[in-house]
Amino acid sequence: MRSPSGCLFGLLGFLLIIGWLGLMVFGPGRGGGVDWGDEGQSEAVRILLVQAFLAAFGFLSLMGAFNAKGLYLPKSELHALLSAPISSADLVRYRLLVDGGKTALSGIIFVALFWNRLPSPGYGVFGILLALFAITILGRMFSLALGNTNLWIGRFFVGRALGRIGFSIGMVVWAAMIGLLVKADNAGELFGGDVDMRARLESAAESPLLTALLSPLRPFAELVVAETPGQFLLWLGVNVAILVALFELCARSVGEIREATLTTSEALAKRIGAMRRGHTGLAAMGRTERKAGTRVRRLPRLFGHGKVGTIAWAQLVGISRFSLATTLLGLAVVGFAVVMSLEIDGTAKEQVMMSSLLITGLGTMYLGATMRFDFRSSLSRMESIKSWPVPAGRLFFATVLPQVFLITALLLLGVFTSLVVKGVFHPVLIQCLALIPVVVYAWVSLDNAVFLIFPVKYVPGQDGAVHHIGRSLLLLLLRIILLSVAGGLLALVIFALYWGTELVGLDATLVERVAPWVLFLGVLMASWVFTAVGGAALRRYDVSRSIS
Amino acid sequence: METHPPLLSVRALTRRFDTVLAVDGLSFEVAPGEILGLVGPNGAGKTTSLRTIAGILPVQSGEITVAGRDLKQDPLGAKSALAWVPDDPQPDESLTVLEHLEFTAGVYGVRDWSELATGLLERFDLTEKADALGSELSRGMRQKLAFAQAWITAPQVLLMDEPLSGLDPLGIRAAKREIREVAANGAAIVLSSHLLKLIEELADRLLIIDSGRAVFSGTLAEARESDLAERGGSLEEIFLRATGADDQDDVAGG
Repeated sequence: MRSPSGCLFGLLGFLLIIGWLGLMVFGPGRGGGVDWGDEGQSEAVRILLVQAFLAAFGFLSLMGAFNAKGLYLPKSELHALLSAPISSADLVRYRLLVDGGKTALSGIIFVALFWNRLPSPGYGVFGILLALFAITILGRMFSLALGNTNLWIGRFFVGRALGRIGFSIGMVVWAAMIGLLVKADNAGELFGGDVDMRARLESAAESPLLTALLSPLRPFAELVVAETPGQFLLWLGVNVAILVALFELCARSVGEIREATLTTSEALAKRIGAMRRGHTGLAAMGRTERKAGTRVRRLPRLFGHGKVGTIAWAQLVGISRFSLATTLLGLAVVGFAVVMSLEIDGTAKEQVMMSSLLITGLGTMYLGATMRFDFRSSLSRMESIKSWPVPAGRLFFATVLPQVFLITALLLLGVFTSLVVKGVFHPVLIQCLALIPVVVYAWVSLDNAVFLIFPVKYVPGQDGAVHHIGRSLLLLLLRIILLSVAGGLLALVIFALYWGTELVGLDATLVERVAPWVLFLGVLMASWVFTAVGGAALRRYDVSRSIS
Repeated sequence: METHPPLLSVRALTRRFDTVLAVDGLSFEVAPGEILGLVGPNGAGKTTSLRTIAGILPVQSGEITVAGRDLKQDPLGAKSALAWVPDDPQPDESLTVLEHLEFTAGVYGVRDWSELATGLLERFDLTEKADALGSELSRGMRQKLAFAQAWITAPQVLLMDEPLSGLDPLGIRAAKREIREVAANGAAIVLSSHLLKLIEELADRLLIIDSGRAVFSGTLAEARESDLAERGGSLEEIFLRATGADDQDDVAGG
């Protein structure tokens, strides 16, 4: 925030965050779910609910430990701290304090979320923050144990793919939850509906097994739901004592973790670096290396052997090799849009048009934001890219083409699936299908053109995050405004056509036939303009921005 | 004696970043088969000059001609005749070494690239790494791949920024041999490096720049004859005197 514009964007980002937190505290949805302040609710149930929330957070924290065994140290400190005359226990204490600071920041969001649900919010805040810190320490203890080769657990996991174990456990839990949903006769039964939810909770709170399982979290839950100064002081003292004990236990039982610390810190630094360079999906997870001995599959030159075809081929190779998870997620999103489109009623023509519109609209916006296999993933190579003897407009086109190709394929699959399941067809489908690739191209090209003019992206660990949130928000707004202007101009043209035919007394059905193709040509023209702007932005792109 | 027109000509090149003048009226020429050693202290404007000549940064002021093509008027023609080896090559993480060569050949319109690629992989000791992904390459391997990518385009002008970074002694020897061979085949080479020994070994002429301006241009023999050095002085001594660093050294040394 060194410039006036930086201050402005920083302020915008700050207001956005405050607005978000304010919405959680005072917004219309704050009373949803179970009201903890309900006088009819027993204290046992309140404590059970708090314990359940803390247990879920603790589970996530322990799963996170699988991805970071040993101690994580930032790249800038890693070698300096490991070679400095500092004991391992002090290193752990230092990182725990940093973790504590970060937990306090994220704790503010939880506090805002639960503010109106706490019996005494002023007391409950302390409970939430202390509990989150304790859970963070427990997670850190687990990751240290996994990286400690003096312990059996550390020796057991040497050389094993811990990330996969954590991922598998997470998947089992998700599968169990989905199974629970399917087993319930309907969602209403599971989330209340005809069943007396309160009676179920009361019954659960009296379960000896559940009480025993969740008992380690009880002191924190007691502080969260404390109502009187006496209760608050008592449980605050207990919690602080537990926290200090956990803190010291974690620091003193550290053992030999240097090797695991080096491996973990370097892997995480690589992942953060990949995200800074704009990678998404598995590439950002740092999984850009193959198992030894596995061969890479060669992809055919789908876009020809010319310069544009060569660049598009290389982009497609990147997508096919490292973005399976992102593509599967995209498929899931399109699946969701398809399920939504099944609810559309009307004539066959209306159903075809509305289903196509819904799936294309939702899919383009979401997939365009998540499947970014474009200039964002090429920032580290911009120096080479700009030295290629390829016209900037063609280079721009070739770079975004595979992403458009992939999103279009997913959307076409979605539209076909929706119509096949519904069993409807109308010739208007041909026009809809023709429009999908140009609409996707228009959005992706606009998105990239704006990105090349204002290369703003938020990455973890970035300085000035608030400033970047503000800028990103404004730039998203700019993209939507530009697309709306293009859409508005097209609507005007079509309206003028209707008006003109009416004026000269021609049949209105003629315009109905022509209008979709006018729309098609209009979107195509807008795409051409966005490509030209993108090419010009690429020519002007200053590589010293991305290479520092 | 037959004289060839220069393959690279830079006239009054000036480049500014906001208020900072990075390159200030730089002019030089490189003839076919000639290796120009570009040296200067950190921040002297070497990389900015090379990036501008390579068409990576736009030309703000001045003229650049590559193989007879004006970079401003015919950027694609100029770029086609030029290859750029950056100081820290960043390969595409998802392409294999061989695919990188296929890709470069496609972008530069090189026909029958396959045989050329096989030969280059051998010359740069990359045959065993042909199927390795860009993300799996070490620093030295990335450097070798950047050489091979530049070589496959058969450039008339070759720009190299710290080309020996990350190479092992064997790789350094091979790289020197290859650079000499490319020059012998008629290419004009600009070689920027802080390794003065390398410049002494390879360069036919020397261009010392400081604060974006040329402070010496000529052969090493001419530099040794000049008042920058005692007769037979080392390049290090010439460099320090040309950039005024020896005065600071004296002050620092007391």
